[in-house]
Amino acid sequence: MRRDDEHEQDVYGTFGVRAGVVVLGLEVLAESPRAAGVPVVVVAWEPPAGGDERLARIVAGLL
Amino acid sequence: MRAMIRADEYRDAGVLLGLTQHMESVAGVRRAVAMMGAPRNLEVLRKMGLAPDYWPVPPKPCDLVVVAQADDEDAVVEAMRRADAWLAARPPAGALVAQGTALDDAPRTLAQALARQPEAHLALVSVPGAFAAREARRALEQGLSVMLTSDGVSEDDEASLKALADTRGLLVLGPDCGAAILDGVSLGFAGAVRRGDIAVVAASGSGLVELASVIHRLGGGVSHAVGAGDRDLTDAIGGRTTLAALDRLAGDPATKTIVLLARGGSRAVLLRAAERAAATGRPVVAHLVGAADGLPPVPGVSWATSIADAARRACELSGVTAPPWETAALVRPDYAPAQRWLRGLYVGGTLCAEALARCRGLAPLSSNLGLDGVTHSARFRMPGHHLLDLGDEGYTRGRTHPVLDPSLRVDAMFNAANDEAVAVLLFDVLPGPETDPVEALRAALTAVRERSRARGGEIAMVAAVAGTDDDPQRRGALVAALEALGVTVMPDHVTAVEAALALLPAGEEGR
Repeated sequence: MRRDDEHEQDVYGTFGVRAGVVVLGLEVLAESPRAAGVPVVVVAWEPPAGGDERLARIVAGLL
Repeated sequence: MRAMIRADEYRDAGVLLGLTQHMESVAGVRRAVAMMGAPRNLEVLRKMGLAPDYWPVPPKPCDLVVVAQADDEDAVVEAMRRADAWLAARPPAGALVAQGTALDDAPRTLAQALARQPEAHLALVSVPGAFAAREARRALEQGLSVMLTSDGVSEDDEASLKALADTRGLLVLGPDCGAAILDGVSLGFAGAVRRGDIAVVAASGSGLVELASVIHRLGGGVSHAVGAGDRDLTDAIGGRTTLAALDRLAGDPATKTIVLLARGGSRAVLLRAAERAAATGRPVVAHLVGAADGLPPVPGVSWATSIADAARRACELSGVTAPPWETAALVRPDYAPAQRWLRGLYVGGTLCAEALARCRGLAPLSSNLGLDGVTHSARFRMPGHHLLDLGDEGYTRGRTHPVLDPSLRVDAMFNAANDEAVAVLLFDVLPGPETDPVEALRAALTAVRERSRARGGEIAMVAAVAGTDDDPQRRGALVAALEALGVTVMPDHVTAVEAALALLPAGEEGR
């Protein structure tokens, strides 16, 4: 758990899911937690370096 | 055939699949494909015979490529017109727009998302495999646990991500984790399962879904179901996610019984995990899929013989009296002389692995899954008994998993329909997104029945359907639809395998 706090475990559950979920990728995966009342933020994700995997690896290596 | 390139327009795999299906619904369209212009995707397009001879401007990886092939020009034009309209109605980051958030406000990065939702504890990462480890690492560094649905993540990346998670007290579910239930919240394609006091820690998606849904159908309920990833129990990964999840469950007041479901990996790591599960003080049921020999006793751990047996034992330990299954009587069809073999077409890898282990006595036997004594082949057609995991990475490279996109299995079923040597067709049905998984198979299953009859025989069709009646698709409705198509539906996956074996022609049932 991100914060080692028993109070958070009581409020958000053993795995902390009820605190909120961030979705990167398939938007359809946002549906079931949202339906369960979990706050969900969807990232408008796009592949880095215009999707060029080789270039993305090089850029990641520079950062 | 006509192709369209939309420059710099990234769409996720779910949107691409929806667009493909939308175009294929146009009368006269034979095939349609929507994909990003990554080189490996263009290679898939070429192999499908859908790549133009010449691209005036070659697509870039960030370009959306749309192709339609039809009987006449009017149908192609109509498909492209509908593709434009469909995309226009779904601007990128459509879910946010649908919620009333202006597109320009949509977070573009994890950091921006966390600024909006600072309390979030979990990231669901399903970006293409080449970028998945990078996004998962960023999430862990920001203090989030990760459910990694993507496949194509290397073992080295998995090991380093899980080591990082361990140092921060976080979890990495997966990779290739298509389903989980955490704190009663269904994630991925876990479906609607009753809440209860049985916790599941499983290798990966299909075994977890089958186990959780059988527990539900037996009257029990699930507190949490963690998908650790198929490689988690290998020596290389060391069971990091399994052990960390068990440590969480040790302090979980909602969990009274624990089920450990393993597929492959190291016996030593599995035994360590079983001991850790027993150390939580809860009764433990454990099952190693495909275990051919006995596992050593572990105090407090009961070894099950199948996924369904594990579900039944867990229910009993939780005080649920599970009724015996009611199964239909099996009637062996009048086979034509050429019909001899079993063909298994699975979308669930763990289910396929368990089926393959149960079919060990058959010969000749082949599969795309590795198992001692079994010929390796990923071809649709093989002489002999043949079981395929169509969700294996060998098939999903450059395309969507068959739980989402049924087209690969439809092709494999048509192949079986045309194979005069197939006697029994065995398959699984897993709850996916809102689409109807049986409707997607209707034409292929009808062809299996009609073409085998035209050859003077009949292919026996046997299925296992995971899920519950609380799912949007309602399992009972799916079962009824399959039975109307002539499919024998068994109450769980293992009884389906046993039924398929019992239905094989005399002399082919194996040892």
